[in-house]
Amino acid sequence: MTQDKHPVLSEHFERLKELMPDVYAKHFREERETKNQKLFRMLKHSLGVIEAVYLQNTDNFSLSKAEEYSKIIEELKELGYSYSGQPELLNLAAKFMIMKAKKPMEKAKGATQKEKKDRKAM
Amino acid sequence: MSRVVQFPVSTPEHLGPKKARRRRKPNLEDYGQLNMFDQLPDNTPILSLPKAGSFFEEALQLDEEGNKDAEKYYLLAIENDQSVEDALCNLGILKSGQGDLTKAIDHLTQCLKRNPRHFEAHYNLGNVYSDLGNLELAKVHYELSAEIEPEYPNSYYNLGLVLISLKKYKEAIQSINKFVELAPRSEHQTANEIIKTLNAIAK
Repeated sequence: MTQDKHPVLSEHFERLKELMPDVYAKHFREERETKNQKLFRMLKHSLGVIEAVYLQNTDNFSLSKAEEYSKIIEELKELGYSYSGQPELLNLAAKFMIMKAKKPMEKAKGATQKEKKDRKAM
Repeated sequence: MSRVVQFPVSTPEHLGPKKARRRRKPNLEDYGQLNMFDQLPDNTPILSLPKAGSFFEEALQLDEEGNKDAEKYYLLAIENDQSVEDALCNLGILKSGQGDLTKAIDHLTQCLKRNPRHFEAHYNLGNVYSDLGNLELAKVHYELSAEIEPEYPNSYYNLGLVLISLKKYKEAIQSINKFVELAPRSEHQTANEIIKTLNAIAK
């Protein structure tokens, strides 16, 4: 029967892990990570991609997309995760939310109706 | 020998009710007329004449009802030179509602080309530009609409919101105060809450 780990080599690798924790950190983290933590890491990565797209061309990023982005950050905070987000994008989203409260469009009523409206009682 | 000449007798006309009979459709070309309207082409738009008096009024009525035909009637109003500026302005609103902001700006600026002091067009352009995130342009158009129609409260409210977004809090307070001055009492609550918050920030 073969052994899974050679005792001498195993000891050697344990020593290497102690000497170079950075090299082995990723491997350890992946082993210990729960499913939720993995999802959070993936989400952070996706948000990073969104931020990169925004920084590459700020004009192409519509306000509604900025609002969606800020909603994700907000929900993450509510779930107890900390992710500060891209400040410029969050600022853009805040502006969009303020302007959403604006008064609606005003239809032009045509010359005759305006005249009727302006007519005063004699 | 005498000759008997028959007296011409016309057959008596049938008196009483007369049945309607289907007549054969005459071929107009037999009478020298070119029959151009024998069949309608498939793509002929069938539009009824405006009930409300003009194409513009009909369009406005349909627009208020949320009827999609409003757009066709606004275009007919423009073709027939009826309230062209107002029709262009309202087409801009329709396009903005459909999410076509580029077309909305096109119609609204066409309106301003004909009448640079069209207050609704300036106000609506303010709304379109704020939807696009161009707050500086939105500010200019709200200011112009307030200049042309100083008694219209909503220009001041929306201008106030733009000024908040631009972090010009003192000017925003002035603008929203002006709204409160002009707007009916039922609309004061939200505005007063905004002013309260702004006063706390501006201190």
